[in-house]
Amino acid sequence: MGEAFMVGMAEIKVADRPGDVLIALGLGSCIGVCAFDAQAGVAGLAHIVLPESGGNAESAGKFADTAIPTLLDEMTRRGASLSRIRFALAGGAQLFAFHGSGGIPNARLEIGLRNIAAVQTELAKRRLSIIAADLGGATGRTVHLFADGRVRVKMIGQSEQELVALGEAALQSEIPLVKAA
Amino acid sequence: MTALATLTDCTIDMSVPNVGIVPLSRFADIAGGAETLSAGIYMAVEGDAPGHVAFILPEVSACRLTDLLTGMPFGSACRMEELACSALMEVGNILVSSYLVAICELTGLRLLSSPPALAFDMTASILSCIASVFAAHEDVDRALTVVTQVDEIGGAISGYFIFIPEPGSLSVMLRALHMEG
Repeated sequence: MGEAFMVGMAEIKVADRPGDVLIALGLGSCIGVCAFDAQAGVAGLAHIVLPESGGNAESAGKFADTAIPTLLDEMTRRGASLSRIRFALAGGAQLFAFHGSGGIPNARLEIGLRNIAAVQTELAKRRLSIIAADLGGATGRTVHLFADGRVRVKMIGQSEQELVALGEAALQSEIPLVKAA
Repeated sequence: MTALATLTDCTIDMSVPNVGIVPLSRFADIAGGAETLSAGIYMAVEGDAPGHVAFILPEVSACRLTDLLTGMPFGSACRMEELACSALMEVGNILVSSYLVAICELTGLRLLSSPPALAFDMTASILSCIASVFAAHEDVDRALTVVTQVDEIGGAISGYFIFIPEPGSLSVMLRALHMEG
């Protein structure tokens, strides 16, 4: 039997034992960055809260610009290779509505879209590929990343659904390369 | 809760509220778990003791409160339709404002609130969105949260006021209450 590890806000966790699962409960505007190297069997989940650290080095896992390199470091230290890691993203919703009471949108509550952009930028900078994403909208998400690369997402009013199997996605993307050779 | 009694023209008994100070990461467990559904009304607090205030109402209570406001028997509202959201936003605004006024009267401090924002989602998602507002400069897990549990109508409606003081604000409040030398 594998173990379940909760990945709280600003945390990064890596799993490499079959059966283990990394869980980010109730992502709101936060982003769950799921990363997986099928060959090494290493999965990593970062629960990112804000887009930019602005030089704040205290909590690397909190900010997109510091969490992504930290996640990659921790995975490569456990045997993953940058060229093989595939990514799936979930989160970045905007839950709060402002209708009535002359409500004025509070820009500080609308961080989801900026988080999405920041994570995408950090991954694109390193030419890392996002295989699947379930981002934005107005609903929170719970994300499960299994040690075999399966990513499952649950939202309120919906049953849990498989977003992607990063292990299979990695194999698929390798098929054309084999054919070209 | 006199505010609610006036609003609904009902006699409302309030049990002695339960007050406690916990880290924000522990609050979801108190309120029934990370993935349980809740309505959350959030306001930023400015003035002598800046911080964040929210009223968190678990799903069953949110629906009952909606029934109370719309004059329907308990059990009528089972989903958060637009009317329900609008009613909750208004009553949430009044309740949270009354809560702030009570704190002001108790402490003699001057506190102002921003316009309200409403979310209906997993409790953890709501909390993470609130946390993102102050996460840049604080440890989100350890952020002190003053939790006041209120029960209405013999426990039929049960909710939580949470006040998250910005660093320094809690000591301002304690000093105002002469609880600190």
